Amino acid sequence: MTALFLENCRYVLRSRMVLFVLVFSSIIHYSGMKFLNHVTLSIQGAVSILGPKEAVYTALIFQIFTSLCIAAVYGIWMAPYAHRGERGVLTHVLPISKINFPICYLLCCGLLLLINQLVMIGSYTGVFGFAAVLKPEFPWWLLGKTFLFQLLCLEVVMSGLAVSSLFFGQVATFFIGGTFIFVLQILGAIASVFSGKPGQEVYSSTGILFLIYKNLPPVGEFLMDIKKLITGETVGVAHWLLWFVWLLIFNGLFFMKTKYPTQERSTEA
Amino acid sequence: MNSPLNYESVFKLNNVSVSYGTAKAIQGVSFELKKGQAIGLIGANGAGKTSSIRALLGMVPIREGEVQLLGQKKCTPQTLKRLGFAPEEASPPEYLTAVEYLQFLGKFKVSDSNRTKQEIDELLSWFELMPDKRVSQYSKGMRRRLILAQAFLGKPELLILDEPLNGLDPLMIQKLRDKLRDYRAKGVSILYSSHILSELENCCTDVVMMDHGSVIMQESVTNLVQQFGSIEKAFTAKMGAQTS
Repeated sequence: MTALFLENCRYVLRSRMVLFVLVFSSIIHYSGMKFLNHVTLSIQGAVSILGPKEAVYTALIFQIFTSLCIAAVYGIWMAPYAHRGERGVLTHVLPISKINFPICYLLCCGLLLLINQLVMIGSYTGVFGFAAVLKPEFPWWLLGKTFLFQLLCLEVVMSGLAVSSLFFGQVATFFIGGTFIFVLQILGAIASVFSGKPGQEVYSSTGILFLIYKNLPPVGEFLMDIKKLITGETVGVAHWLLWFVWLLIFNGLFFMKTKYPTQERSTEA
Repeated sequence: MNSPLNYESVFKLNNVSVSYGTAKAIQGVSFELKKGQAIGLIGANGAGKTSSIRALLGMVPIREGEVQLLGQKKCTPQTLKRLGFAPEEASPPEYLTAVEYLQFLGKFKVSDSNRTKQEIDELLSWFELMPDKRVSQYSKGMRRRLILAQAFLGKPELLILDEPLNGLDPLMIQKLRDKLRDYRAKGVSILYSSHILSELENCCTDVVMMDHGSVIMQESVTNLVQQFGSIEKAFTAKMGAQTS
């Protein structure tokens, strides 16, 4: 398991994924927070300057975007790498239990998401200085909580994309995944409009469509759940549970799919 | 046919059938490899040689029949540890160098790290591989040699070689022939699938001939050579008889 994990870390490094995460994430976080540091809001005559506290909340939104990109790239291209095309046969005959593969990919993706989190904190420190981070009111607890929730959700997204990539190929998964996330976001918004209270679960009474939606990964309510965490509310146990169940389902499917090597040739560029 | 597995039996395919969708790849295939034996698997393209190997290694679902491999009812990580497999078409991960790839495999196949290093050095030297060059920079022939090298790692009890000579130069073919003879003399069992029938005469003790997904003949090399003059002539005669 350790050997497999280290090998995957080497792949992540050699494929320049870590470099991309560092550069891409730093640019997004640093430039975003630098911009916010100079913004002055004037609402109905009341002038307010956005400072370090507000920047943390905004940085979390940037982080969701960058983390989603990382999970998508890892899920579509990197996790299936060893199992597709001419590599699949050699991976299959490794004397190791197949369950180690999905576990290893979860760990690797988690590591990348952790690096992204550290880049966000690093960028914040770069813009607002060490003093802002070392202040007692710096929301470490909030960052930890949102990171854990994001980690669970994005590992599900990564696993789902990896499974789809193994079944349908990488290009198809890019579009299937994009469409799926878009549709779930729309359904999440519709559900919120119906309820009148964004993020609350009332869609169970509105027909078969929402019954299905209710049992899918709650991607549509991901942002609302993050907002809940930021504002100090709690995310319902049902959502945590649903994410966790889908994590098990996708990784079970990945395990099943790697039971036999994929027959077709690799299609990646 | 369901005789208990004895110590001498390395693997046994018992009435095995495999399908890809609706197409039947192999049907009712049965043959056994015993300790120290080297079976040459021959047949025309699409005869079911690679599918038989895939069934043996648990790479395809078996529709009917059963497989016994190194004392196990199915291919497990433990059995994979004890065998070496060089597939016909494969490529190691392109981002690794030859030495890194073998080191990675060595972690699973060899328990002693000192022995791993020694074995890897020997294999790299024997197969004339550039240790620090990445697989992405390797030629087709060098990739082929690396695939063969990994099969020999960990001193396997069973070698499964699917078209091992593809892409090899004549000198390497000669070297490999000697190495296989040497391994067989040490008691290693070999399953050798190839279209180059003259090679099988040099390396194998027995021949299994396949056609249209079934075994049509299983005979010792000595008997075949006595009866037909060569494996190639035996193959031509048998296939001609099948066609007519």
